[in-house]
This record gives sequence, C-alpha cells and structure tokens, in this order.
Amino acid sequence: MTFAQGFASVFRAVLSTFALASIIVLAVVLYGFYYPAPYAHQTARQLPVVVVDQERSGLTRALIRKLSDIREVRIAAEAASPYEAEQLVLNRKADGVLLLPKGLTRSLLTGAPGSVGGGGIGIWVNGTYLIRARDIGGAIQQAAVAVAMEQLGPLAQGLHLRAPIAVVERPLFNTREGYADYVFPAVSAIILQQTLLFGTAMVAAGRRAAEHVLSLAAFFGVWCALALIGCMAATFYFGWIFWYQDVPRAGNLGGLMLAVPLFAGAVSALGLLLGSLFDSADRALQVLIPTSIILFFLAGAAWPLSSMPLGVSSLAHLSPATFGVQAFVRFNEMGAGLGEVLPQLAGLAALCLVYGAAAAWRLTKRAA
Amino acid sequence: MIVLRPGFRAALQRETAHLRQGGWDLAMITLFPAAAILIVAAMLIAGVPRALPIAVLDEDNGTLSRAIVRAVGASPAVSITERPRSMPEAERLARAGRVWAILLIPRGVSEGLERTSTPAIQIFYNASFLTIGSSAASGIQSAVSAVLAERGLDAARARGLPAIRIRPPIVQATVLFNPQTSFEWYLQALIHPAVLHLLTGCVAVMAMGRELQGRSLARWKAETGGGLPALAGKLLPHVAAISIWGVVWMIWLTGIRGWTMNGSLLLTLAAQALLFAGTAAISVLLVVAVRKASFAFSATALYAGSALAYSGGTLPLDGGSGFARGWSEALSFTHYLRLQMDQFLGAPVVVSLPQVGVLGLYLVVPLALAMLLLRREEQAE
Repeated sequence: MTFAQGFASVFRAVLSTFALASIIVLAVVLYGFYYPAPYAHQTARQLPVVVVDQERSGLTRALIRKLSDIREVRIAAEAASPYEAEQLVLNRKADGVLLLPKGLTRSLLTGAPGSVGGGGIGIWVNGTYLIRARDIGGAIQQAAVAVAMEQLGPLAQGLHLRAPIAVVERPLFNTREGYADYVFPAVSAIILQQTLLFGTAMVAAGRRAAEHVLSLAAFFGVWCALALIGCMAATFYFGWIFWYQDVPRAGNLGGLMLAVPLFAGAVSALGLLLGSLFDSADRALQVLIPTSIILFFLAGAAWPLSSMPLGVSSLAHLSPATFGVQAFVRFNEMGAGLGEVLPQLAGLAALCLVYGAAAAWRLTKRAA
Repeated sequence: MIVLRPGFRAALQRETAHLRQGGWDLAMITLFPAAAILIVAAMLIAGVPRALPIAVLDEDNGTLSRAIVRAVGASPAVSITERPRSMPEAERLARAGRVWAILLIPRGVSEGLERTSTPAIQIFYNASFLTIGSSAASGIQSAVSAVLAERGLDAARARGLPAIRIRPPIVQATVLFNPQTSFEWYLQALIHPAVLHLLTGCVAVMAMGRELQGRSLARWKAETGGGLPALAGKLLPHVAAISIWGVVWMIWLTGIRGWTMNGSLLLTLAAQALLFAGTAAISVLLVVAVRKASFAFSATALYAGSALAYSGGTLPLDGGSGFARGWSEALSFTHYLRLQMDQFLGAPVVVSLPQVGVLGLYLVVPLALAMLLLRREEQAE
C-alpha cells in the first residue's frame, strides 16, 4: 500500500463505518455545545444564605438589602440564633450563614471589640463544596465592606477619619472571571484528544483484528490522515465553537497554527500505538473512555502541575493534552508569543516523534 | 422446597469463569481502578496549592512596601520567583505562565497611610486558570491585609496623628466541615465517584456487548436463560468489584487523610453501590436496545463522562439554562453526589432518603426496560 492509499483508507473508513464517524466527527461537534452548557451562566448565582441579625440597626438592614441585590447569593431565611441557622444548613435549606452581632456599628466606628471576636461580621459557609463556599464567602465579604464604608463614610468624614489603603484584585485574560471561560478552553483540549484517540485506536485495533500489516509509506499515510482530521476538529473548535460560545480566543493565531498540528500528530500517533495493543475496536473504547476524567485533572488546569509529586506530573505529560492545555490556553486566551510557549511546543514535538516511531514499529511489523 | 435460582448462579459462575481467564476484562475491575485511585491520591497529596510562583513589582520601595513584600514572601501559598522592573515585563511573565499573579505596590503607598488620596495596591491574577490564579491572589491578599492592619495604626501613631480611623469591618469567615479548606478532600470527593461511575458504565457495556453476535443475543439467552437472574449474575462481579474500590477510596479519604464524615458512612457507601448498580443497568439497557457496543460506549462516555460537569459539584447550576438544570436532574450521578456531600456535612438521614429512592429508580427502570425489550424480541421470534 502506498502513502496515498493509506491516507485514503482512513477517510474511506470514516465514511463507511458509522461507529467511527460518530466518534471522530459527530461527538466532536456535539461536545462543543453539550460541554459548555452547565457552565454557560459563568458564575454562581442565588446561593441560599441565612441571616442572623442581632443588632437590627440601619447599618445591618442596609447590608441585608445589599445582599438581596447581589447576584451570587439570595437570602433564604432569617434565623433568630446561630444555632437555628446551623440547623437550616444541616437540613440543606441554605449553604451559608451570615451573623451580624450586637454592637457591630459601634465597633466599626471605634474599633472596640464586639461580641464576635474583634467586633466583626461572622460568615459560616458549607465547605463540602469548596468552590461554592469561596464564592459565597467572597460575595458576602465584598458586600459587607462596601455597605460599611458607604454608611460610615460620611460619618467618618465628619470626625476627620480617613479611609485605609485599598487592595484591588484584577483578573487577567479571563476578565469576566467566568467559569465557562475558564473550564471550557481547558476541557476542549481533552475533548479533542479523547475523541481523536478513541477513533484512531479503533482504526488501529480494527486493523490488528483483521491482521493488516502496513508498509511504512502506508503507515505515514494513515497517520497523516488521522492528524489532519484532528487538525480540522481543533480548527473548528478554536475558530467557530469558541466564537459561538464567546470564550476568550485567538490571542495568537500563528502560534496555534504551529501547536495544533503537533498536538494532532502526537495524539494520533499515541492512538495508533495504543490501538495496536488492543484486540478489538470495542476494547479500545472500554479502556480509553474511563481515562478521560483523570486526564483532565492531570492536565494542570484545576490543580497546578507544580503541586503534583514529580512522578505524577511526569506521568501527566505523557498525555498530549497536558502540553496541549498549557499551549492552547496560552495562545488562545492569554495571547502568549511563540517564545513563551516554546517548552510546551517542544514537548508536543517530542511526543510526536516518540509515539510516531513506536506506532510505526508496531504497525509495520510482520506478524510472527 | 426452596427453589435455587440456577439462572442466577449459572450466570454468575459463567461470568467469574470468564474473568478468571485474566486479560483486559479482569484488569479493568482490578488494575485500572487501583491505578486510578493511586494516581489521583498522589496528585492531590499536597492538600492545598503551595508556593505558587508570583511576581512582585514594588514601585514604592518604602518601609511599608518592604514589609508587605516580606510578608508575602513568607506566605506559604505563594512564592516570589520574579521581581520585574515594569508592568509590561510583569505581564509578559504572566502571559508565559511563569507566574500566576502579580503584586503591584504603586509609588506613594508608604506615605499613603498619612495622605488623603491613597493609591491602591493591585493584585493581578491569571483568571484563565481561575482556581489556581485566585488561590495565588487570595494568598497575596491575606498577607497584604495583615500588614496593612498592623502597620497602619503604628505608622499613624508614630507621627502623632490620631490613632482612630475607620476600618473595613472585620469579617471572620469560617469554612464549615472543611476547616483546612483542603482542595484535596473536595476534589477527591468529586473525582473518585465520577471516575468509578464512568468505569462501571464502560465495564458493563463490555460485559454485555461481549455476548453480542452481530446484533443477536440468542446464544447468550440460550446459555443463561436470558432473564433477570441471568442479568444479575452477569453484572454482580463487576458492580461488586468496583464498589469495593469505592470503599478503598473512602477509607483513604476519611480513614487515612482525615476528612470527617459527619453523617452516615454506611448510607453513603450503600448509595455508592446503588449508583454503580444503576450505571451497570443503564449500560445493559443501551446494549440491549441498540445492539451495538460501540454506540453504547459513546453514549456512556457522553452521559457519564460529563456527569461531573452537570452535577453542580463545581459550579452550582442555580442560574443555569433550563436544559442544563433538567439534564443535571436526569443524571444519576447528580443525586449520588448530593447525597454524599450532604452526608459529609452531617445532614440528617431523612434529608438524603429521597436521593436513595431516585438512585433505586436508576436500577429498577433500566433493568425493567431491558427485560421488556428482550421479552418482546422473544415473542417476535
């Protein structure tokens, strides 16, 4: 078989095998809409909070009004005591408690200690959902600070008191601090890798089951065709899906043009190599599908690679998506230059070479 | 006389005999989950991200700013790896991903404590990696606030200014049920059940798909009777093995790593086994209905592979689209995760009982539908 025949055989297989087409084409398109849907609202909204207002002053009432205005939380109930509020959390009527102790206004003006350590506001949040806890805590804190300064500001001016130094946090690259804008670009590298990997491994496992031996030229034809399919999928994502989903994109198109073929080449070579180990196309799916969730967390988007033990982060880099996430997010969202992503590009190139050589060896070997 | 159910026992023996031959099917319920638990446990062993690299740009270079830099440097959450000379240089470092956050202390901060218009200290963080970037930012934030609170009063007093100034309210935030704010506990509680859920789905598709000859299950029916006992015997070894791995993981998380289960551990483990049994039942239904293993695999990847995203475990779905909320409720994993998190919190068992009921439905309904499809085919033949 020649290069051209090998190349054509892949497209023939995709067009004639519905199972293959459904994974390598249909699934890719479907995931582009299906995966961002649970994150499309971008931020936590209307999380239920219980308020315990022991002071009942103008300040605390203003604070409660402010809280019912903000997007992140809603006041689910008012409780008479912290104990009662905790029961509401335990019975899953609320995710957080806000305690406004007696003497709050006075202690804010004078710095005198109130009933809660230091005269402050108390917030308790359900920490079992840690990200939700942080959203609630942050939202209440901001509202409390804003209301206190607003209410006490004029009073303080009269007393010739001044505002303290402000500390401002500003998000870079994902300026909406959106959850979809953070998760989807990272997940898309996993979607692109896994769909291409499943399809490629099915092709290779199918060939093995049929005891096909490829010539070297035909192997390159097959590999190129699969990598081309991977490139088209990536272009569809970064070009159209990212635009449709309106996530930060196209920061450095030139860089992407280089990273995408390297990524697709590495993934398809890995798929061919793994596929040559399986006894059937179904086996490829049975073994590879359950790796998806773990590979996402290993890619360093949710948990930093630098916080993983060396053994785990080394293992993580065997999955092309790990370099892929790091390179694509930098090019798409952060607008990094080519030089700034050189280590990831070199890593992808190395995986391409190693997996390509190993797959060529496995698939062109005469059966003993 | 007690009638033994030969259908169940024969099917069980048939399945275990196949597994005893070794090979991929055995590995997928032994080595694969063992490796998964090991890798995820090792990955998260640090608990919280520590020593995240950050850049500090101190334009002020006064006593206060130096104190701030020292405090930030001493914070365990971050580590100052870069001292750029300008904002463009700092931004380049952030773009290259060499730092997760930038602390900018503008000129005039040290005198600012006495001046009327005070420049703001700014923390820029990489929101493309939202959770990591904001971890770095909050590490910097707490170090800076501590210095400002302490130094602010001293500095004013030293210059004979009145010591009183209005302070932002002290907000004492307490994270209940996860006081160390351990990401390890939280992510473990999300990742492991999700991985085992997806694995069960795939393993069960293979177990049933193996019996297909072309699109026919006739041989399997002839050999095992093809009724409910035959299905139960086939699925039991897989569901049992993966449930045991679920227990191993729970022992690691609560027994060894120390996250307290305030509610009922037994209920959670039972719900987990029920989730896996229901997942296996859905796989059987998929294979029986479409008679093509590859399609059943794709469907499993679609619903179980993204179950975590739709569970509300990371971003709550309140405020999501109607489709997202509806589909979330339709997935069995959502109900399991809700029960598990509520039991970690210590919710009364009564609160979780509806979830148990729902999980039971995911076992009963798919099995009943699969039986119906098998029976109807028999009548057609």
